[in-house]
Formats: sequence, structure tokens, C-alpha cells
Amino acid sequence: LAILRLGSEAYGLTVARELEQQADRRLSRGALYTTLERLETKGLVRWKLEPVGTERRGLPRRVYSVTARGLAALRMSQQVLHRMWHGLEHLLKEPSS
Amino acid sequence: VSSGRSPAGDGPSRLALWMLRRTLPPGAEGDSVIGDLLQELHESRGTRAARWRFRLHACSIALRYLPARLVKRHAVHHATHSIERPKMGIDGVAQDLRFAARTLVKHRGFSFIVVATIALGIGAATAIFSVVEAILIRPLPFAAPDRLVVVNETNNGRMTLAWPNYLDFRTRSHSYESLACHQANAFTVVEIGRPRRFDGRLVCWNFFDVLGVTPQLGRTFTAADDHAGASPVAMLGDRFWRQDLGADPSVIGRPIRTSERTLTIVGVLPAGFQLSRPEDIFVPLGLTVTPDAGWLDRGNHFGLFAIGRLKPGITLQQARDEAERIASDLQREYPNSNSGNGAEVSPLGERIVEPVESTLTALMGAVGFLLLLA
Repeated sequence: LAILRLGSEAYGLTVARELEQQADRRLSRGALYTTLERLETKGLVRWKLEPVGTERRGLPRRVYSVTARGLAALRMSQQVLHRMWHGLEHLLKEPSS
Repeated sequence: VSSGRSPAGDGPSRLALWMLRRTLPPGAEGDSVIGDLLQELHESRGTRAARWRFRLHACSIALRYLPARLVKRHAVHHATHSIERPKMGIDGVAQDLRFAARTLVKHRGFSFIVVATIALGIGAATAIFSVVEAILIRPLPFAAPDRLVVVNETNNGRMTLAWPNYLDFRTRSHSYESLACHQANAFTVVEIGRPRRFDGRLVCWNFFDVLGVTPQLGRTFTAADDHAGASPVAMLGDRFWRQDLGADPSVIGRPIRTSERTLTIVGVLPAGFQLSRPEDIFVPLGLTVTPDAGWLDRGNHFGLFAIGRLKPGITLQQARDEAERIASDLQREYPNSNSGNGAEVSPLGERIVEPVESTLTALMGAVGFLLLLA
């Protein structure tokens, strides 16, 4: 989801920041990069190298994008979540002050 | 990375960079991760906090990538050194164990057969070895058991002793501290409930002294107990005393009636005492040795064996030579009864295990092979 939100700017650092901002918690970089590798192995994301400036000492960055298979997996995950949430709204509703 | 050197002051930790290069995959994949960290540090203007975050991220990444890196190195090592023996480093062993665990989980049927075979092998080997250890390996529960020997006559094979020949062996031999005879016997006790038969042994008075056995209650036999016409006495085995007499400590002096005679209990043997099998009643042999019973005939061999304790320094061979000499002398002296009779002296331990040794050895070998197979 973070990759989708970031569009063409989705590389390791921005994905980490996006997740930390949205989840409001620190993210282990080790967990982030190994998760991205797993998603790639499963064919859910892919990446391409982009040239960079001096702030990275010339080291490339991998810009990620979600594959069609990844999108299908997200849709399925969303549907499952919807089904699971269905009927529980009254229990999980924020209490009115 | 274009340069391993970091700018002084606000640059990344060299150690962290070195760690990342050692653990991340080479090429663009690894470089892009390091680039991300460098960019983050750069954007944070290289503050102290940012440098610590850099180190922290480097550690986190290294920890995550290290196992995968080790696996790859292991695989490369095997691929490039397939003829050589694989190194048994900690990483290699860990990888092998992980691979074995994964294989076992993946092939559950096969794993079950393997585990069952190993379990059967270990179980059988343990069971048989505990029997072998108890019978073949563990020393006899007697004092200085390596000096205990069995003496018997031979005549185209093993033969028991004739009573007069035993007396001659006892008086003429010098290899033994003491020599005692014994004969397996069964006793029918008519006193306790219905008549019951108990395994026992007729023994010479010094039998327990030869073995070095001390009773847990009462006394052993004396020479005064061991002749025809003496007051009949008995020693009891621990099992009989506990199971049939309720471990009564006042049992000494109590009479016990058998089908042949009434015996007075003079002692109780210690728990665990047995010669070749558990026995319950021991009676002096001399009570039964009477001329009218044929005991004095050298041609009668009534199942008598002798147990001797070799004198310190006397070898088994010396005892054997002496026994052969005595047997030859007896042949000359009593040609009618002793013609062709020799003598055999063998260690007590060997004689006790002799009937089961080959079976146990074969069983141990069989389960050993089963374990090897497992």
C-alpha cells in the first residue's frame, strides 16, 4: 500500500518514512528490506534502478512498483478485511464523548 | 560504494558501512540499501542522532541479511568445492541442521519411519545392553570375584564331583584359600499355608565364607552344622524372608518345617545375593551325606560342584595344573571309579554367564546392527 501511495517515488527510504508516518511507529530497516525482497520473490512487487545525485554518493536507488499480481493480492486482502469487519462496526465504533 | 572512507565528523560510521557491505548482497541490490541509508543521513545533516540511527539501521539490516548470506556462502562453497570434504564450521553445521529439519518436516512419512527406526534401535539396544551389562559386564556381587573359581570333574565332557573326590581335592590342593561344595536342591515347605516348593541349595558350611557373603540377619553355617546327625539348620534368601515371613526380624531361631525335616533358621542372606538364580533356602550339605545314601561311592556324582577362592598370587593356570595332577593321582589310586576322570577349573563369572553368553552377544550384535541401520 505504501508503494502504491508513493507512486514513482517509492524506494526504500520513502517507503520506510511512509509506513512510519502512517503507522506512527519506528520501523526496523532490516524488516523493511527483507519484506520487500519477499514481496519481490512472490512476484507482488518489482523494481527498477534509477540514477541519483551526490547525497547517495552515487549509489542507485531501487524504485518499487506493484505488479498486477500484487494488485490482485491487495484486492483479495481488502475483501477479506471487509468481510471480517462486517457486523463488528458497532463494537469497534469510537465512543462518543 | 565509491569510497570506503567517510568524511570526518558528520559522515557515516565506517564500521557500519563495512558491516553492511559484508552482509548485503553485492551489486545494485546492496548498493541501493546503503544508498537509502546514506541519503537519510545526508538529509538529516549528519547530526549525532542521525549517525546513531544510521548505525542502528545498519545493525538491523545486517542481522536480517546475515543468515541468508551464510546460506549463499555455504552453497557456493559446496558448489565450488564439491570434491572436498565440507568444512564443519558452526555456520555449516547450523545450515545442515536447518536443512535436515526442513526436509524432515516436508517428508513426514519418511520422517516417521526414520524416527521410529531410530527409536526402535535405541530402545532395543538400551534394553539388551542393560541386560548384557548386568549379566556379562557387571562384576559378581562377591568379594574379590576375580579370584573365585568353579572346580568340577571331567570325563569326555563336564561332570560333577563325587563326594570323596571333592574331599580329596580339598585336602590335596594348595591353590585355594578355601574350597566349598554345593548342590542345587529344592525344598518343600509344609508349614506356611499349603505345601510349597522352594528353590535352594545344599552347601558346605564354608560356602558363604568362600564367596565372602555376610548375612543381614543371624549367622552363616559352622563346621558343627555340617555333618550327619547335626541339628538341622537353614539360611534363608532375602526374597523368602520378605515375601513369606513378612521380613520378621525375630525369625532367627524359628523352626521351619519341610517335607524332609524341620530346620531352624540361623540366618538371612543379604538382598541381591544369588549364585546363578534366586534361591530361598540353604541347608548344610553334611546333613544329607550318609554312607547308606551312596555318597561315599566315588562312582556317584550327585550334582556336586566346588567353589574355590584362589590364594592371592595364584593364577588360574596354576590351579588348573594342580587340579589335573590331583585328578591323575586319583585315577591311579581308584582306577575302577576314576578312570578317565580329569578336572576343570574355570572362573566363577564365566561359568555363571556361560549358558546365556552367546545368546546375549548375538542379541547385542543384532541390535547394534539395527542401531547402525537407524
